[in-house]
Amino acid sequence: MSNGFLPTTETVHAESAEMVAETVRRAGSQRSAVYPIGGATALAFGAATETPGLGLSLARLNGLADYPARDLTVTVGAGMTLGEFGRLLRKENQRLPVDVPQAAAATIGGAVATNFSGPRRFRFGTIRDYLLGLTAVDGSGKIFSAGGRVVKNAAGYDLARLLVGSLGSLAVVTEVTLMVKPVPEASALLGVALAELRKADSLLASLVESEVEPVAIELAAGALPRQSPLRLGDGTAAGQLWLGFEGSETDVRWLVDKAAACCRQLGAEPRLIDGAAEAGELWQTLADFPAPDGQPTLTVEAAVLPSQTVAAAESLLKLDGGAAILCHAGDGIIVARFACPPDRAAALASDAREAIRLTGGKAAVLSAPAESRLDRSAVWGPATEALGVMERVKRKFDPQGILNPGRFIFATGTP
Amino acid sequence: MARSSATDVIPQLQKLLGREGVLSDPADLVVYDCDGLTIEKRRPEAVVFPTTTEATAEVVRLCNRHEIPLVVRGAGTSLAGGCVPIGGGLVVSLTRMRRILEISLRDRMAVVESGVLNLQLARALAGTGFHFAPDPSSQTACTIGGNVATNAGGPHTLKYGVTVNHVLGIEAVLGDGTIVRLGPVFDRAALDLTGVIVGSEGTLAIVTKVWVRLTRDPQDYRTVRVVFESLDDASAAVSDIIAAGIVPAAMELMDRGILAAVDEAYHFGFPTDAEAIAVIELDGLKAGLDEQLTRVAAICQRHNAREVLQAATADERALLWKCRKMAVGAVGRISPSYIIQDGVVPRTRLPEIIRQITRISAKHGIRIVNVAHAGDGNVHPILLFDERDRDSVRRALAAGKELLEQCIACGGSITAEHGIGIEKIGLMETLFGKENLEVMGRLRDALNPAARLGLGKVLPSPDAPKILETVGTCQALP
Repeated sequence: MSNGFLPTTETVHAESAEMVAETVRRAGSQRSAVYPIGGATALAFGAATETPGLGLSLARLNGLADYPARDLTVTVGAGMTLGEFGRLLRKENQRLPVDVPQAAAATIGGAVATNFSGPRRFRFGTIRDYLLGLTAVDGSGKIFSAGGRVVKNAAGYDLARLLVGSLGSLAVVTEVTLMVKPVPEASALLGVALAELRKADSLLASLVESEVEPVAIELAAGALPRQSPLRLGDGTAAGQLWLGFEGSETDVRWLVDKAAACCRQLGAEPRLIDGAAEAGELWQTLADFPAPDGQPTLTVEAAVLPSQTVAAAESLLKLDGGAAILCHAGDGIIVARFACPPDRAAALASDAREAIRLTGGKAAVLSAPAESRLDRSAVWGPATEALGVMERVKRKFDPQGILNPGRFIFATGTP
Repeated sequence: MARSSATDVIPQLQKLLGREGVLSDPADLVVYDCDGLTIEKRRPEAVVFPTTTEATAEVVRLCNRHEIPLVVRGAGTSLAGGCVPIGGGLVVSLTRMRRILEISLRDRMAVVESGVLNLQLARALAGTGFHFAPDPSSQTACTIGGNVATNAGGPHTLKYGVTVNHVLGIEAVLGDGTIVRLGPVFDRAALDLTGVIVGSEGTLAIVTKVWVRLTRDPQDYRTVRVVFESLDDASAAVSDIIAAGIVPAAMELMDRGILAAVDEAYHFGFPTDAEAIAVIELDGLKAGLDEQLTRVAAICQRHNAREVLQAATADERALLWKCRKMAVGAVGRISPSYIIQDGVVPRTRLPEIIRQITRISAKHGIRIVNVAHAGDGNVHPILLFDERDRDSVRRALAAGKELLEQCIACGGSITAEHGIGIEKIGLMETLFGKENLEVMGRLRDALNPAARLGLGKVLPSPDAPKILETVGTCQALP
């Protein structure tokens, strides 16, 4: 059986951390690969691998272990979906302010492994900033815990942070403790259409000078889908800048007024979205931007210094004017979607990486059509000087190299 | 090659760093005996002052060739013995790497060398509308490198997070002398080594340069002092404020014992009969602050607050913060020696740990006064004793140990922001268990293979002295 991305021969549905450990040990004794799977929403993320192995589903590890809501901390199984998690927190008027694409199906463990984030990253950071502790199983089948359940902890090494973004290549996360936040009273988005993308630069620079502090600074450009709620104006705009605000009713009203005045001063008439349903849909669209839409697409994520965001977006559009681009401009993160036949993906990824390198940044492929079978260098780029020490870490956690072999940056450890 | 003494390589060190970059005269070394934890001392064999990352790497390589352990040091304000060269060897002081290399408001980033003082950066940023958020109480003296090493916090972590949340990248020298640069641009094709090196107390790498995130200054503040009839009431109010979905910038507690000392030192005029005072700060947009303050005041009043007084002027706010941040300094007025402990519990267990502290104080006959970052569940009981009296020292250490064990029993941890250093090594196994410590050890093996950086710190090993049980085993001082 294969899901198109992973060469899995069978899938084990783990019911407990012990069962995860046992499965990993068994695979180790047979020198077989193990592919951890959460909500299966990010299987296209990572290099193509040919090593057959076990799929290890964490989806049934989806229980609530502990939720002392007054402490603003919560411990859940790694297989809980972010949708379910959100509903659980909502009952206490709390939330995890990290935007993970396809939240209805994506799992918490997957969010840790892939380190996806979205528009609110500007104000609220990434999952690493909420991760207090976890339990995981290393490549030898040993269960270990890291961190704790308190919001501030300086004891020992923070191995939980080490696993964030490691794409399941060091250990399989089975349980997670997170810090959560109160749901803000109000939320609104303010959008302006830009005749040319460069205009965004002066708007973004004037934000630094102003007292307006959004929670999200989003710049959408290129060929957005016709029905996308991100589009503004008559469809001729080169870009649209969306500022997201959250906070108390009073704060949001003040911010929106101030930001609107700021836009008008620069000659742009803003559009305000503050109805709960409409704003909710827009936040969702921003968060789900990298998600697949059924078309053959190469999705690249670039990171540059925030001041280089517009230049980087422009250079990607120069490669392909038909690309759809969303920038988390406050963080210098750019997600670009290129309509792309499978046989062109490698070359396009390489061109995009080169364009981003020239603006001082890095790029990685978030997803590509399954048939394109992108290799490690196409997905992750050339090795950096720090790869050597990272490989040493990998060998310490997965000495046989059986966890997600070949998918992340590591050359070593392919059985 | 067998382990050499650092004194054997002085000529090589001088060649690398110049004569002014090496201290080896015993008289010059005295001040490097210890940090803020003054009861454990060990004199380094030499102290070096590299001024570049490359020179730091050369020192590490030289030490590796001669099997000499090294301990990195910033301003020496740490409180858990993190700078004490317990394994002998060299102290690497980064205090001469103190240039602010770049400030970019547009990128919300500053690039600093590790020896830059936290306050130096704060001053450089004053008036720009942005600041570096971590503000430990030692802010006026501590270095950014030290903040990175201990993952320092401070009163405002409640809203703004700890150091790791504000570090975009680092340049560092690993245990084998390799230089790595991580960040400042987000790199998906990498393990988050920055995330683990921050807070590793110089035992994974020597961080020489830091790219820090800048945070917008709040438009305004509302800072109040709330007088409570009991610590119990005060901690319950703090817990209720958080539970109500309010996120103040800071919520600090001081008990009657510390208030007396603070008032004597700084003449604020706290009521002398107050059992506890909470300093609560709300910040953000001016427009919404009064509304928030009304809600906070109402919650305090439900917990029998006697009065809720707002700092009327910027000067009054500054004095109030001075009282809180310099509280520990005032303790010298009431006791010849003290240990400032650092424990953390889930916020809702705060009343319980406060009661335990009172019980432990009575049991060991050690007076304890309290300050706390109450909003984070982070307590700083200050144990008063007399260093000249060995029995008093023994009782103070026993009380400190029991207190931290209680934090663990409450579901907390033995340090929230000071670090493990050498002081708390003896409790690491109680907190994490052997199995989890073994996994932590792998990370050190990968980044600092010979464990020569920070030898004898953070992770227990059979040959590391058990500080909490055996006072003064480090080395008898002349």
